Amino acid sequence: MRDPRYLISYAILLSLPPIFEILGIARLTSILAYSYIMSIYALSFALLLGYLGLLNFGHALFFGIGAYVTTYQILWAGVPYPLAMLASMLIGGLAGAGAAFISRKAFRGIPFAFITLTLLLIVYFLYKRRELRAISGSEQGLLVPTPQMFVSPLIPIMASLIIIAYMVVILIESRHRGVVASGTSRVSGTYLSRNNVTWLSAAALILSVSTYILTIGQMSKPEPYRVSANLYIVALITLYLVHMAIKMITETPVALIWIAIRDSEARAETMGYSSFSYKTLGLVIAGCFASLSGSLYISYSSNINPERAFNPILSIYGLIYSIIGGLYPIEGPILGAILVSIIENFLADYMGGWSLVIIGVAFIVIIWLLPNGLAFYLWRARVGVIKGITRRIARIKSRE
Amino acid sequence: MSLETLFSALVDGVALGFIFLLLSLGLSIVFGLMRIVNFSHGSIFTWGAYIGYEISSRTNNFFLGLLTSSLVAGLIGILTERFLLKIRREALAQVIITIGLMLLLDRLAWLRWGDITYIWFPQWLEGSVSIGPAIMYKYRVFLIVVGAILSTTIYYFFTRTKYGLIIRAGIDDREMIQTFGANIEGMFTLAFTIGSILAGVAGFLLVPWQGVYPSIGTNYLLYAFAIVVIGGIGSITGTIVASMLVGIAQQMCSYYVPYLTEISIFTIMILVLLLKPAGLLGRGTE
Repeated sequence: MRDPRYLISYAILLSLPPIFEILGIARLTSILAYSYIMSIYALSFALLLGYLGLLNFGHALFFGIGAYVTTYQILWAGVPYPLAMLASMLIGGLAGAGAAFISRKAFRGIPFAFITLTLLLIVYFLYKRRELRAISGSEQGLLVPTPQMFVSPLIPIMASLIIIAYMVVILIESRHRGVVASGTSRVSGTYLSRNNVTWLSAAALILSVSTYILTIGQMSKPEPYRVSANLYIVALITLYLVHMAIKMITETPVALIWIAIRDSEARAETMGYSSFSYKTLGLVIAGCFASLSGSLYISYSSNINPERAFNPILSIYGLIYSIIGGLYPIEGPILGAILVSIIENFLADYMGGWSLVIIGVAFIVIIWLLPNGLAFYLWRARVGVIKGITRRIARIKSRE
Repeated sequence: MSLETLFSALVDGVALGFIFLLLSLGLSIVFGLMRIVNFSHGSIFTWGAYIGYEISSRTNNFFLGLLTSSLVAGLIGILTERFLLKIRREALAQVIITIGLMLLLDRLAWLRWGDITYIWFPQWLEGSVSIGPAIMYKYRVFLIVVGAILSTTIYYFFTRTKYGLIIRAGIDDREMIQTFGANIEGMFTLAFTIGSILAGVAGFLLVPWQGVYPSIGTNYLLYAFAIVVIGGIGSITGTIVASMLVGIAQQMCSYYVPYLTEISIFTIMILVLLLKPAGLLGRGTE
């Protein structure tokens, strides 16, 4: 959580919307906001697939539950948006527990994939019925008004304050303990040595520049721009929190037990671990985060219908994001979601009807050329660069 | 609720059951033998239907259309298995490859034929016949006859011939038949191609009844998944039973309670999965 490298990368991303505006590609702001929402969804999908070996073809169920529960709270009860998000996360977790209970007899492999797919399809076809128009919105969808917080200039100011507070905490902590950095992942077992002072000064510099850009960039801008920029900020900060939470979860002993269950369920059971309760825990966590992404999604599309919320294709997209980005390290699904969303958006603009043809070919080619997913190769390239630099330094020193 | 309606719903259900059987058998075998979920199966169904429609509406010959659609579907299947699926070995990567193929084929069909539903009828199958108490559409009775012939052949192939037996043995234990010296790669290709041909034929047989539109394959693929799971993965008899069950349930629902059609089928599916996770006639679990 306190690894400054993540903070730096997210701070750079956070200051992008004003830069996009200057460069004249402001549309990228909302595309990226969408891809961050999908990243949260992909992370929850990849947590199940990578650490529990559970292929969940009904994952869109949690997404849709998040979207609809948030909508109901906003439309019918007037609950403020952040509170509605939290409540729908809870409901999503409950739904995860429910799905675990229903599929308890076939909690592995293909049978699990199909039980969850069936649950999703039942809800999907139920919500598509015209008779349920009042609660599902049918084809037209339910219109959700833009939450008030996205119109006010409060978000960038709050975001900057949080960043500054965070920076101060890191600086104070590093004075007597040094930077606590956990490496990429305890599970994959890689540690990189680093120079604390360099990281910290870089972090301080980038953080202050990005907070400056963030607050100045939002002044005196028209409302649609502010809404999309605010959505971008909220989606990115939520993604950061979810990313760090999932990273922390994957570094706890629970994740090790998950891996043990994934690799050999019988052996883990013999050692005394109840595979049902650990899998249920995983499903509850994944359900929480997937419905969080669903409830963020309604402020992106401001119109929710069953075709968007409970679409079985969405579950398949979870798989696509995770495999193209790679399941390990955990940044893979994020990269996959961002890459696929951007490619899809631009292809849809420039290629029209041919875009899906090209995307289909692209999936096959990416699987062919990058068998371990994008993140793995990026990570390996980075390790290669660091090794190269240290080797060169050593050579220079030996020459002297 | 008259007897005639019930009877014609039953006939329609059996006819649809045969279509479902042809579609889901390939899916079930590929599933059992190669352990991959083949998402492109529905698109092969669509392409079989379109190619068959194009040929038979031009030449006005039903059987020529049947032949070309099976040839084209078999060709797509053999190319997919020989080249595309050889790219990667892992099941998940192969699933993504079939998803890519699904997007590609569905979209190409949409670009060529658009959103219109095409229906074509052979003249000698138009009109209706009266059997017993009810008046039937001629084509649906014909469908039952053709379906019965085809499924008997398939059943014979899988229970009486050498390659059919090897494929079924492979579904039970893949490693074991490899140690016995069977060419497993060849069996993969054979199973995949047979499955694709059956899907293409099923697609073409549905053209005179429900027509063909770009997303028909993917819609029917959901039913095929349900059938495979209800019948038990890799079980031939189970697939036959489940196809008839789902076909009759679908038609009964659309005659009497149309708003519950999909929901009732997926409810059957979840009940079966909860009571017997391996399917009605499936053996063991993973």
